[in-house]
Amino acid sequence: MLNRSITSLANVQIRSVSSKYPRPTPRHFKRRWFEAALQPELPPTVSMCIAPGLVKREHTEKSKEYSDVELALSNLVRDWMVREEFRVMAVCQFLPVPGRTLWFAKNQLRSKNIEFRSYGNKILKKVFEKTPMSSLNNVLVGSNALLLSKDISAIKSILQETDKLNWIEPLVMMADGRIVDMVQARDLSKLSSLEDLRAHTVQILGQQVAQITISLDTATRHLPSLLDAYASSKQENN
Amino acid sequence: MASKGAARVRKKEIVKVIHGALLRTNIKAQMASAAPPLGPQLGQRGLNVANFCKEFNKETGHFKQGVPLPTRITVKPDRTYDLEICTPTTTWLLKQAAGIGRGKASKDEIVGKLSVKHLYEIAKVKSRDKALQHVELEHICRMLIKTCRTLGIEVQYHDLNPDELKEFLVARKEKVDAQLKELADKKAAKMLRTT
Repeated sequence: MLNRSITSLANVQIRSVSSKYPRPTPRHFKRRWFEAALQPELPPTVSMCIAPGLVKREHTEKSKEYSDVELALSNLVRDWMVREEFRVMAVCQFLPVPGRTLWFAKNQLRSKNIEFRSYGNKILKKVFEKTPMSSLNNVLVGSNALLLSKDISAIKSILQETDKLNWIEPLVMMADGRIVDMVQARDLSKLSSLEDLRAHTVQILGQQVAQITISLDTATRHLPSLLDAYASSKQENN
Repeated sequence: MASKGAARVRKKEIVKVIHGALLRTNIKAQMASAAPPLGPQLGQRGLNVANFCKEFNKETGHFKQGVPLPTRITVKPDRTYDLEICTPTTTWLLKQAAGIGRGKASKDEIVGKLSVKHLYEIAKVKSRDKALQHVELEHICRMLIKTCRTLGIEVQYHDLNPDELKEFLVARKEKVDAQLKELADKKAAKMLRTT
């Protein structure tokens, strides 16, 4: 008697009444029969097959499209860059940094006439579109920032400042419409000033001009003596 | 016995909060005290609250009492600290300039009026902050305009007309008094409610 009662109790406990327990699959035929009878009559649904990779492709295409706000921002940035007449631009890799540190660093850079800007690569690609700067698109991968300056000699200060900060790394520079790689930029930064370079170039060009003049002058100076020598030798022969 | 053991309430584990080195808080000038909220904030970081209050009150002696001053305290591992006291809060300065006590309570409410000249003077004061050094004055002015918007202060390009402003302030005062009366009534009704 006691055994029987315990068995019945156990059955009660085992019964999966809660929705948290997995339902037996396949369901009991009576249940299936019941559900089939109660199923509402609906028009047959046509299931559409989605080509493999279509969703991903659509998502990628959508992410490439520009919204009105993004277009407006890119126009604003382009106009600002043209208006301010920046001469040096450094595209840098920008690593995560606390906001307070970033704010103070921006102010510090501004004191050295360097402007820090980070708009996101999508906007920057749109800004550089149809300009010689579009060749910089290759470096716009991940998180990037721009350092801009109106002074050509800022190449040195940009390198000095970025060496101090461990969360920003210059990848490529642009000076007066020319792309300068980092090796060249480091060489340029070693010069005391770029005016020296200009003076050196002018000196080399001046030397060439002076050399040509001297060469031509020598020929004209030698010509009468040569002719005299020729004339005297001819007289002796006669 | 076993049930007694099981029933014993397990002691709540106390998780020790590790505070950062920087504490940003607004303290009223000459009114730093060991009372909450400042006292516990400093105490948890292991600072001597009494000494801090004494130093802060001494440093802010040249300010009017009660002016809210944004303060940045950098706590060092040896329990010493660097105290950075900024210029009064922007909202306080703007409210003082506009002659109002409170900001907007509902959308599109205009609580005060200021001209750009007022903002320029406030920007000059704020530019002395460590955080705003080398920031262009125009940029600071733009930030102030945004704060004015959140406060409900209307910024106008031209100078304020004293007559118009007086009229506006009188109307505003009546409105604020009505709002405060309504609030007081509500509070009283709440106190009297028995159910």
